[in-house]
Order: sequence, then C-alpha cells, then structure tokens
Amino acid sequence: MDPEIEKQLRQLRNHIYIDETFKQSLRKDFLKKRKKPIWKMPWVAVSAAAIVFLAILITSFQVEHTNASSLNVANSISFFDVGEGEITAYSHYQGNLYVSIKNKGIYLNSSGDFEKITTLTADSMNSSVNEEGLLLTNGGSIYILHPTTKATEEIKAGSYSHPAWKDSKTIFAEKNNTIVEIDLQTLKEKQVTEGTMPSYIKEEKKLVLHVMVPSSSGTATEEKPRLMMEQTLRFQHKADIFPM
Amino acid sequence: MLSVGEKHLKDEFINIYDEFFDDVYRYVYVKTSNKWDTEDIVSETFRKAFEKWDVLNDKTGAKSWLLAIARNTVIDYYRRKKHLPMGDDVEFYLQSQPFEDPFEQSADLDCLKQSLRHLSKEEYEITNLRYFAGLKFKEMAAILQKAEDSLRVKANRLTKKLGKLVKKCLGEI
Repeated sequence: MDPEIEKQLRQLRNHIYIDETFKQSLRKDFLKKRKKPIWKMPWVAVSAAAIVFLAILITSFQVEHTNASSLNVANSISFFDVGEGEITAYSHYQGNLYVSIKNKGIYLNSSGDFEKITTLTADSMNSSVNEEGLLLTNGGSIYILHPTTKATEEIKAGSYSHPAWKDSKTIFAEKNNTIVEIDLQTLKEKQVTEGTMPSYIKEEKKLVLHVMVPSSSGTATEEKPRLMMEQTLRFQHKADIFPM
Repeated sequence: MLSVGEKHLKDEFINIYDEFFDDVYRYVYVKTSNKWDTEDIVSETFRKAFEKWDVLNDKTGAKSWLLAIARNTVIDYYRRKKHLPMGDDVEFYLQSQPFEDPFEQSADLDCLKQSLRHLSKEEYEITNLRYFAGLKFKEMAAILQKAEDSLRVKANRLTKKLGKLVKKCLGEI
C-alpha cells in the first residue's frame, strides 16, 4: 500500500459534503415510522373487513326491492321481449313510451310495465303527440291512437307515412316524396312541397322536413334537413326553404 | 403503540443509521456526483433496510449489508430512469464518477481526484468501498463476492498506481 495515497484518500473522503439537514430529516421519518403500515396489521384488516361487512348488511335492508313480477308485464311481454323484437316505430308522450313491434302490436310502457294497447302495428309514429292522439301509419293508411281510450281510428287510406300534427284539425304527412297537408274534417289534402319526414314546430310555425339535394360531388343526391317558414306553406314557394 | 420488541428493533435501526449514514451517503455520492440523486437513493436504501431489519440475523454485518443495498439501489435507480439506456450505461453507474468537491483543496488532493479518473471500473469500486465508505476487506469481499486476499492485492496495486499518477500530475516525474 502507498500510505501517503491512503492518507490522501481518507482526506478526500472527509471532503465529501454530508447534508446534515437531510440526514436529520430522514432520521425523524424513521423515528415516526412503523415497521408495517397500520393497515397491514392483522387486527386492523379484520376490523376493516367487519366494518365493510356490517355496512353491506345494514344497507341491504334499506334497499327498496322490486317485485320480480313487476318486471314481467301484462300481455306476456317484458322489457327483454321488447329488446328482442323488431321495433318498427316508437313515440313518447307525457312520460309514456309507445313501442310498435312487428307482428305483435303497439305497447305502452308506463311505470315500468309494457301493456299491449292494440294489435295494430305502426310503420311510422309521430313523436309530437297532441291531445287528439298519437298519429301513426300502417300499410300507408293514417290512424289516430287515442291514449286515454287506447282505441285506434283510421283517418285516411293511401300511401302515407310520417304523419305529424299541425293543429287539432290539420296534419302533415309524407306521400310519394312530397309533403301534404290534410284537413281532418274534410279529408282534403294539398301538396305543400317536395320532401319527406315532416315535423311541425307549433310555437314557431315552422315545418322541418327532409329534401333531396345534389351531393357535393354533383353526381348524386342526398337527403338534407330543411326548415320551412309558415308563409312558405301558404305560398308553397320553394325559394323560401331555409337550410337549418 | 409499539411493542417492546418493535421498540428494540427500531432503536437498533436508529443506531446503525447514526453510525453508518455518512458512509452510505459518501458511497452513493461518489457514484452519482449529485446531491439530488444521492438523497433519493440514500432514502430508498434506508427504507429498504428498515423494512428488512428484523430479518437480518447477523447484525454485526450491518454495514456491509447496508452498502450492498445501496449498491443495488443505485443500479435500480438508474434502470428506472428511462432516459438512461440499459447495458453498458448501467455499468457506467456501477463505476464511480469523479465527484465535485465543494471545498477548495490542496494541489495533492486535486491531483488525486484527477487521477481517480484513470482507474478501471473495478479499481474505482474498490477505492470507493475501501476509502470513501470505509469498509474492511472482509466486508468488501462479501459485497463484491471476491476473495479478500485478491482485494488486498488489488487495493495495494491501485494505491501504487494512484501514487504514480499523482506524482505525474504534480510534475514530480
């Protein structure tokens, strides 16, 4: 060994600065520290498990249980049957859901039950239900379904779809890619404009419909929603159709 | 509330902390050359030691045990740092780095510090463990898993090598 170098190496060692603040701070941590965190101690784990068990037990008595029979609904249809069936149309009114299922009929869902209200099925059903009833079409004919009596009434036969209320005496409907307005008292109809799927906004006196317009590529047509003002209904002026 | 056994273990641990903290700190500092990494690694080293203190049967070997933990923690620390590629670079950190000294020192010590750069990885590790961490050859043999006599021979050679390098640095040769 080179004693001089060994001496110098030990001197150099003493020149390595020790951060005493860090040393004392870390020491304090170990003075406070437990060997095992408190949650790893067996009695703590057992206590925690017991508390969780009691909490589950107590809360399970507070849960409002649903009667299993209420999930099955009148006329042999359940929520699952609805999901499995082919829904042809649906609408809602005052919190009630009306669902038309192919080859089965129209069902009313209120307070969790599905109740069959008619064997008639709907190809299309209006989502804005008036006091007068729910508008629907079946095989091109327009019907009214009365929610209170659950009776159906045929209004007009033809090749209609997507009927919509204008007011208690007038409806709109789609007929051969045109929108027609039908007077329910006289059953006379007049063509309003070209388009499909009419829906009337009573408060603003506007008709929403779909029209076929040239696509951006110019090689085909595509269906676009349009908004029509009340005046245009009277004058049937296509220039007054506004993009939404 | 700590049991009597737990209190005894904790007291023992605090004693070895007080006794060996400086050695562990210096050893790690020489490897990292910066205060921040050193403090992270030293904290982690003592945390691991605290967790395993009760399973250490031979408490008389506490110092070499602590330094072995520190050595592995340095390796793990730099492996976790994603920016550091694996492989040879880990070896780089196994080898000690020339450290910055905040104090002015004599020309001899300055030359000695520069001469340390010319040591091999193994020689530098032996120097660090022997002279900066203050381990005995027996303890070093346990950590490096080499024969004690072999380490004595290597330490003898490296001090002579350093002596020549220092003289050269000072212009005496």
